[in-house]
Amino acid sequence: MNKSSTPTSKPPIGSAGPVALEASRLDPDDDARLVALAQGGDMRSYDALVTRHRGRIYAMIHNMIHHEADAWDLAQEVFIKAWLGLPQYGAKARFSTWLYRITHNVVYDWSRKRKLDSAGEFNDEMFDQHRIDPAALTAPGVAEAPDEAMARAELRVKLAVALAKLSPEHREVVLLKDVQGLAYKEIAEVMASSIGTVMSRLFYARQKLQSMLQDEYHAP
Amino acid sequence: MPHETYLARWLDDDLDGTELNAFEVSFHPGSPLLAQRQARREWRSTLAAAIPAAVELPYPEFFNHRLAKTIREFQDSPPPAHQPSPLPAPGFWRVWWMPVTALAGMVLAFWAGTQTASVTRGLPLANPPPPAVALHRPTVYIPEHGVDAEWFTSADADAAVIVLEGVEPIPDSLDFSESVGEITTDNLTAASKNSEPLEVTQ
Repeated sequence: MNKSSTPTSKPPIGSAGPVALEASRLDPDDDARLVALAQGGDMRSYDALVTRHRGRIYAMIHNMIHHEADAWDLAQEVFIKAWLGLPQYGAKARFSTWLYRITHNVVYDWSRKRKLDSAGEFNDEMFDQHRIDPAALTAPGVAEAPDEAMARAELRVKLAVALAKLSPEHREVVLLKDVQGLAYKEIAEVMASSIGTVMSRLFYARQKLQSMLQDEYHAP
Repeated sequence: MPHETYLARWLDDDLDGTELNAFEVSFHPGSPLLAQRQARREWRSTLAAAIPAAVELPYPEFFNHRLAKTIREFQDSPPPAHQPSPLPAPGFWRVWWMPVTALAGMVLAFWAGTQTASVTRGLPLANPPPPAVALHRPTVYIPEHGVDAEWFTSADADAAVIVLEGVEPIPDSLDFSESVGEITTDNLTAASKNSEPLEVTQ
């Protein structure tokens, strides 16, 4: 996030956090209607689209790069690119899938640039487990019993650390399938690969995750 | 699609409609694959519970506001200049006179340089050009409705000032020592409505 142009105070507690499940299940028909209006230049419709999808896009980016301010900036970039690309969007894919595709490109461009900035050396700062903030915004905000909350927080940190150890491709495929709930075909479109590649990546990614979380979870 | 692909998709609840009906009919209730599918469902629900699919980002209103501003700037900026079509291949005459013209230009520039240097050398500039002023205008975000902000800058004073119009005055009765943790609009409104002076506690 560009610090020079953002408010200095923290947002009020409760304004950030997991978006309600009802709000996060988006009706593609509504998207299609809003997209058609936005393609005609209606900014209010595009604003509504942004409001509908920003939570998912931000969560996806944040889970990929584990940096709040950069995730905020990259989410901005995603929606600017989406606006610029709207005339070319032909509704062959769902609008959300198209947004994930742009997100994929933006995150990979950003990672590539960071590698170049570090003089050719691989900068693994973004995958450093110590940078994962246990009190990050991804923490569930619902009221829980203290012991449940602690157990869940522990599992969340362990999962975040394990995810961070995966390769970006493996991490992305797990997030898209198991967290965002995309279909194999949609993931293949987002990652510009075949369904077979997606299946293979998902298989190995889950195996690695489960071996890292053996004590926590006896997975399929 | 090969059988294994269908199986993998079925295990992940990726089939629907006729595909699902056609595939599922081949399983008997006690099949170990059903248990495997259930285990995958549990895995997904574990992940989904720990890692939310959607998270409201910080400063959500500012996010939309800044996005709209950037898009407006894109719309206001003139379209990129039309790229001229590639030049045709140079003919014999153009090839001949281009080096001659370049040489004449270099000689002329050298002569002009010597003349200019002899006039200005050693003379201090009476009015040095003013330092370049950054043209960047910041985004001023106002969370309160009915408040206008105007931004001024002065290169001479090396200062920038933001003037806010329409902000409600802070009442004298407001006890800042009690609101150090978090000052919100609600605090201010409540304090302004309170006719009794607040007791100062040390």
